[in-house]
Order: sequence, then C-alpha cells, then structure tokens
Amino acid sequence: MNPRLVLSVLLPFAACGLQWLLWDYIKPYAWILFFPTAFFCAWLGGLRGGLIGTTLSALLAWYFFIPPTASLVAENPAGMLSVTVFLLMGYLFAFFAERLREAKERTETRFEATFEQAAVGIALLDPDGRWLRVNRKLCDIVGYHPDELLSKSFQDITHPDDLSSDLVFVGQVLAGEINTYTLEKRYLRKDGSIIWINLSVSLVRQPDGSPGYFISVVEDISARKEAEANLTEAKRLAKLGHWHWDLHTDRHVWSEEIYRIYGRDPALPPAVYPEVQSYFTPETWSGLVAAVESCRANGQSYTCDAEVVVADGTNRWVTARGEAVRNAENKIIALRGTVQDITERKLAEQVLADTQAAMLEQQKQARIATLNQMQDANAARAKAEAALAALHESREQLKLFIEHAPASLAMLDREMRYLAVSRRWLTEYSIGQRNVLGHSHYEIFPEIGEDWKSIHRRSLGGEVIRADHDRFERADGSVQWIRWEVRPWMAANGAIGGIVIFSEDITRQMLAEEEIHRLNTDLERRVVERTAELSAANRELDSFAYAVSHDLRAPLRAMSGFSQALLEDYGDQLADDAKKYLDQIGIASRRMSDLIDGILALSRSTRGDLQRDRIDISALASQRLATLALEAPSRQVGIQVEPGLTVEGDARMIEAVIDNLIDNAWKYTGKASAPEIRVYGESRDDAPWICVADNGAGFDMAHTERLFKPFQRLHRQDEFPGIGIGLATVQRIIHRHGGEIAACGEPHRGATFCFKLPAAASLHESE
Amino acid sequence: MSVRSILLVEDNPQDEMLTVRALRRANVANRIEVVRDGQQALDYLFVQGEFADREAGLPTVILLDIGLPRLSGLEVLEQLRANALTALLPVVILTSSDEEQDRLRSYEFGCNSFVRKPVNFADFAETVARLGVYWLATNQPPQEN
Repeated sequence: MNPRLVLSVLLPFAACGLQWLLWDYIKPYAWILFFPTAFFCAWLGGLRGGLIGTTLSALLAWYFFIPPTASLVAENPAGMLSVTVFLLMGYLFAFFAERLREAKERTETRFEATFEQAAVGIALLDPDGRWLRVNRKLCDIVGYHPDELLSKSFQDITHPDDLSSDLVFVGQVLAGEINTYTLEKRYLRKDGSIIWINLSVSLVRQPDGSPGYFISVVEDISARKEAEANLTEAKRLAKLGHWHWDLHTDRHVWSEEIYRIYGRDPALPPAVYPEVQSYFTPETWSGLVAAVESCRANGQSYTCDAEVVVADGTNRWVTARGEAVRNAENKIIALRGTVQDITERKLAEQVLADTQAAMLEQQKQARIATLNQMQDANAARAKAEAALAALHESREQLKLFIEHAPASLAMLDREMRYLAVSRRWLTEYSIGQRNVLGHSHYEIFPEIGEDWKSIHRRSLGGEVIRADHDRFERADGSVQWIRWEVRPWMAANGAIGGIVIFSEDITRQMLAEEEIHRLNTDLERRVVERTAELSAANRELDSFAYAVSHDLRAPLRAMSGFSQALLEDYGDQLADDAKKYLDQIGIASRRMSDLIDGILALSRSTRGDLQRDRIDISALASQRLATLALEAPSRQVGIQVEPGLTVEGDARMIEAVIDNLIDNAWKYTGKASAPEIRVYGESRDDAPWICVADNGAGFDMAHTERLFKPFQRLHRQDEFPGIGIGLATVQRIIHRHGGEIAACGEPHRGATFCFKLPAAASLHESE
Repeated sequence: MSVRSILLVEDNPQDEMLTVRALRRANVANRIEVVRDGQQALDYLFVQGEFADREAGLPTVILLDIGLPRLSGLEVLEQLRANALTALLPVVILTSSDEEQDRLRSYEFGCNSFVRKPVNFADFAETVARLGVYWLATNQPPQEN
C-alpha cells in the first residue's frame, strides 16, 4: 500500500494519542490537533488520504473527546454539528488537495515531456558552464551518456577554435550586456568527430538578480553545414562563380571563385567596368559587352563564351551567363549571373580538333604515299622495259663509252683480247691508230713481264687489284708514275667475262707533290734555322745589354767621380774655365748613364714570356696620375679617366705602356696654360682602342715615324728633357702583343696616343 | 778586441780608388783591405794561397762586387755561406748591376745587403760613406774577431 496512505491512517491515531496526553491542558477544544492532522493527511495522501484521515479523525475525536466520552453517542446537537462541519471541511480539503496535486503533476509531466522529447538539444548549465541537466536529444547530438555529460562542462566539448567566441558571449550575458545569444559552433563528439550546431543561450537569474543558470538550446546543423560545404566545393570543382550587380547602387558582389577565375586578389573589391575589360581579349569582350547591354536594356538572358587574359600568358576560357532581376513593377533593378571556367573543356576540344586534323593529315599523307608508290612502280616498270630495250644496243654504247672515256681504259676478254679501248689508252701507250680490237694485249705489248701477267690472271680469277701510285722506269731512263686498277667484269650469265684495265699517268702530279714536299721541308728547315738565329741574336742582345749595364757604367763612374774629386780636392788651384769643363764632364757622364739606362729599359721591356692577364687600364692610369700629382703638387692638371677600361695582355708590360704614355702626357703639358689629360676608350672598326690624350706641346704629324724610334726626340733637351726611349718601349710592347699603336697631334695643340691589343684568343708571340 | 776592418773586393782600380776615397772622407779610419778577384777574396778570408802568411782574423764587413775575374762575387758568397767560419760574416753586394736576377740570387745566396753603385759621383760617395759608417759603427756583427 502507498506509504502516504499508511501515514494518513496512522496520523489521526498519533494526534489522538497526543491530545489524550495533553487533554488536561487543551480541554475542552476537542478538534485542536485533528484539524492539522486532516490537512496533513489530505496533503500527503490526496483525496483518499484526506478522506481516510478526516473520517478517522472525526471518529476518534467523537469517541474520545466529545462528551460523553468513550462513546459515539451525540449528547447535544452542537456536538453533532461540530462533527459534521469537521467532516465537511476535511472532505472539501481532501478534494482540493487532490485537484492541486493533479494540476501540479500535469505541469510537471508536460515540462518533463517537453524537455526530454524536444527535437532540439536542451540543457541547463550553471554559470561556470557545468551541465546541470541535459535532454536525450543533446546526448544524441554529442554522443555522450547523460551521466558522462553531467560530469563535464560545455568548455570540455566545444571545438577549441570556437570556444573563445562562445566565452565572450557568456561573459557579456553574465555582465548583463545582452540577455541571449545565438551562434554556430562545433562540438567534439564522444567518438572524436566534429558536429556543427546552432546554439541559443539565455540566462535565468535568481530573484536577487544573481545568475542562476543558463538554458541552452542546441540544434544539429551539420547537415546544413555539409550542404553548404558541398555547394562551395561543387562551385569550386565546376569552377563556377556567381556575381550580382545592383544597377541602382552600381554595387557589385562577386563570389570567391570569380576572383580566382579573373586572377584578382580576393582582398580587393570587385573590379568595375574599365578594369573588367582588361580581363578579356578584345574579340570576346565586344561580344560580352553586347550581351550585357542587351540584358540590361531588355532583360534578355545571355550565355556566351569569352577568353580571359591571364598575366602569365596562359589565357582561360569562361562561359558567362547572366539574367535580369526585376522588381514588383517589372522594372530591371539588377543583373546577376555566373562565370564558369571552361578552359579545360576548351583545351580538350582544341586537342580533339588538333588530333582529328593530325589524323586527317596522316591519312592524306598515307594516301599520297600510296599513290606515289604506285606511280613509282609504274615508272620502274617503264624503266625496266626501256632498259631491256636498251640492253640490245648496250654493247655498241659501251664500246662508244669506253672509247670516249677521259681515262686510259681497256676492256679485255678472258683470253686478254681487246673488246673495247679508250682513245686515251691508245695515245698514252703510244699505240697510235693501230686497230687493237680482237688482238691480245700481250701481242700488242710483248715486253709485258710475268708480274703483270700474274696480276691479270688473279683478276680473271675474280680479284680487284689496284695501286694508287706505281713507279715505272722507262727504257730511256725517265720515270713514270701510274695509278692503275684491274678488275674483272661479269658476263650476262654471272661468270667472269674478262677484265677491265684502267690506268692514269700521275707522273706530273707526283712530281708536283714531291716538289711541294721538298719545298715544305726546306721551308721548315729554314724556319728552324731562322728561329735559332733569332734566338741566338736575342741572347746576344741580352748579354750585350748586360755587359753594357756593367762595363759602360764603370768608366762613366770613373769619369764623373774623378772630375768631381778633382773639383773637390784641387778646386782652389783651378781656373774658372777648368772648373766649368769639369762640370761638363759630370753632366755628360750623367746623360750617358741615362742613355744606358734607356737602352736597358728598352731591351728589358719585352723580355720574358708573354703573360695573359686581364688588366684594369682605368686603375693603372689613375694610379700613375695620382703618383705624378703627388710628386708635383704645384701643378694643376685637369684629369679625366674613363672608368671600366680593360684589356688582356701582359700586366707588367702593359703597365709600362700606360706609365710611359701618362708620363709623356704629364711632361708635355708642363708648359700648357690649362693642362688636361684624358684617358678613354673608343671603338674603331669594331675593335676597342685605348687612348691617352693631352693638350700639351704636341708634335708635327710629318715626324710621326720618328716618334717611335729609340733615342729620336722631337723636342730639345732644354724644352722637355728626356732620352727618347719611352715611346719606343711602348711600341715594342704593343707589337710584341700583336697590337697596333697610332699617334696623332699638332704642334702646341696636344697629342693623342691610341693602342689596340688583339682579342684574347689571337694573342700571340709576334717577336 | 781587434780593430774592425773592411774587405773590399773590387777589380776596377778606379772604383776602388773612389770607394776608398769616399770612406776616408766619411772619416772611416778603419783598415781597408783590397783584393782584385774572387779567388783572392777567398784566399784572404781563409788565410790561404798568397795570403797564407797573413795575420789571422776576419774583417767586420765585406764589400763584394759581382762581376769579378776568376770567381764571381756570387760564387764567393756561396762559398762563404757554406763555410761555418764565414757563414755569418756580413756581406754587402756593391755592384753596377741593377738586374733583378742578380739581386734575387744575391739574396738567395745570403747577402746581408744589396747596394747598386750610383753613376753620379756625389751619390756614390754618399752611399759608400753611409755603408761604411753603418757597418762599422752602427751594426753589431754576429761575432767579434
């Protein structure tokens, strides 16, 4: 039995007992404890409990406390009335308590049903995010058992990427900034998969205003998300983009794919009219514009292919589709459409067309080849027929051919009888006009020895024998050179029909060759001799120069030294004239010493092997000019050196060239009012030249020849001192390189010296 | 300590006179021994041949010409360096040559200094004077004789 009913039965007895014990204090209020008892019983046991509790209470009160006690006899009408009122009150209360309970139960059941059976996930969470209550749908969505879920918080199952935005909203709600929020986010299911949900959250506050709990409604939107993703993917795969053009606001909206197709940075806004034009080839643009204009004016939908220009040159093809959007008044308010990249299809079409064309061409060629073969076969047959006909006259023709051949030629049969012979043969072997046909070779030339007869026999046996140059001594002692060949010829039946002898007198040729050989040998010998002579001469010159440097200097030193010693030791005993003469001896010695140094420098300038280096002329010239400027700080010379001048040659020698040319320019501008020195490169006949120009003393072009001769000077010592060895040295070095040097100038107007070195490949020893 | 002396190896009597005069004018009072060719130089230094009777002792410095009769200066230098007695003896090559070859070989053979005789007398005199003063007064020889 229902425990509440049991309680409803027991309670009246308990109340009765208690009242009995306390009766002395509460007398004469017989119902005092039974009122609350009846209420309790109704509250606990509902209608039945109320009825039982009230009835029992009435009976117990009547029996024990309403006089006469311990009997159910009504002594006065008031007692009966009180019993009746009590019973009515108790029954009514039981009835209402029952109704109340029923109503409450219904509400609770509805809520429970709504909560549990809702098609969406519902949860109650405490402000910290801990699940308080979850419904079955939510458990289905996240794949957790309710108990498992209740031991977690929403943070635990929210996708990490979505958590922060959710927490921001939670914060805002808790702070009272917003009441509810909705967002799409991802949950991590128990099996680890990800599910997209739409979450709506509201906060229930407690009466004092503090946060009570959150109500979250969770909707599974994974299907929608998947559909969206599929659509995007489909568009991407189809290379399909869509656009919208609001004609009123002139606002354009592009989907991502359109940016991709046009190769435009997605961060930029959609391109507008003039820029869009640059995306298309001019031919397709005009067609597209016409279609768009027609759509805009008349609402004519369009579909057309267009070629898109891509920066890297690989143009793309698109299909552009468009239609008009009308408002309620049927007025065109916008255009919308799609752009689809169909390059691959176009390319495939192109490849297909090309393949077809190629196959057609192949077929055509094959047909032509077949026709040609047939033609060739016909021609061959015709030729064969003609040959057959010709064969009949061939013997005559062969004879004629041999007779007029421009060589000594004889055709003989197996018995060495002449069948045909060339005129040259008759002439060369001094046979004259004699008829040799039918006669034996040995009969015509009875002197022919066994060696030749053996050769003829071998050839009749099938061998081809030849000699390129054979020496014969004639009876008169003269020598003849012959090139000859003996080969068998085949008769119609395939057997050897005889031999053909060919011979050519190459005596003259051989003599010429011998002569050339002799001349070459002679030439080589002479070159070797001459080279040896030259080397010897060079060596001699070197040792001469060496001797000069030592042996000529010593007497000079003595002359200079003793005249100076004379001046120093006996100066006071000498007349002034005598001192002057001694001075002159000193001056002359010094000059002679300079000349010796010059000879040595000249001889040394081109000594040694020619090295091949890349030389920075600009740097050399600049260095030399800087050195000179340092030595003569008082001189103001305008200097221009073109940068980047280089040549290939012997670095040591070319440095001497540059030093000499620069030194000369420096020296001969010594008297110029505004001296200038220029080093530059120029191109003459496609060859690079290096030039050093000055505006100094210059020279008369009539004496150009003398410029480069050693010790030849065009200026007096007292004008410009020097020994006349610099330019000779320069020329020797340039010539040693196989180069050229040229000078031009004008008195008092300056001089220019230009030189050219051969390209690296042709650099050679020219000495 | 013996008196410091110079050995001058010079075949040209005029150069010898000029050298000796320049040294004397530079107040070099030391003894100056003069020999005329390479062989004499070796004989003198190793106290042999015609110099077998001379008092033993080595000069402080040798002024050695290259172009010498009999044995060249370079050959003399080579033999000096090969002999322990003279291996460290200061040798100054004093020559008319300005050939790079001669200079290189002189240093290869171990000369202590290479000096070219200037043609100009004043320069020559000054060079010799400086040589004398430097080698006799300034420079410390490896060993005292």
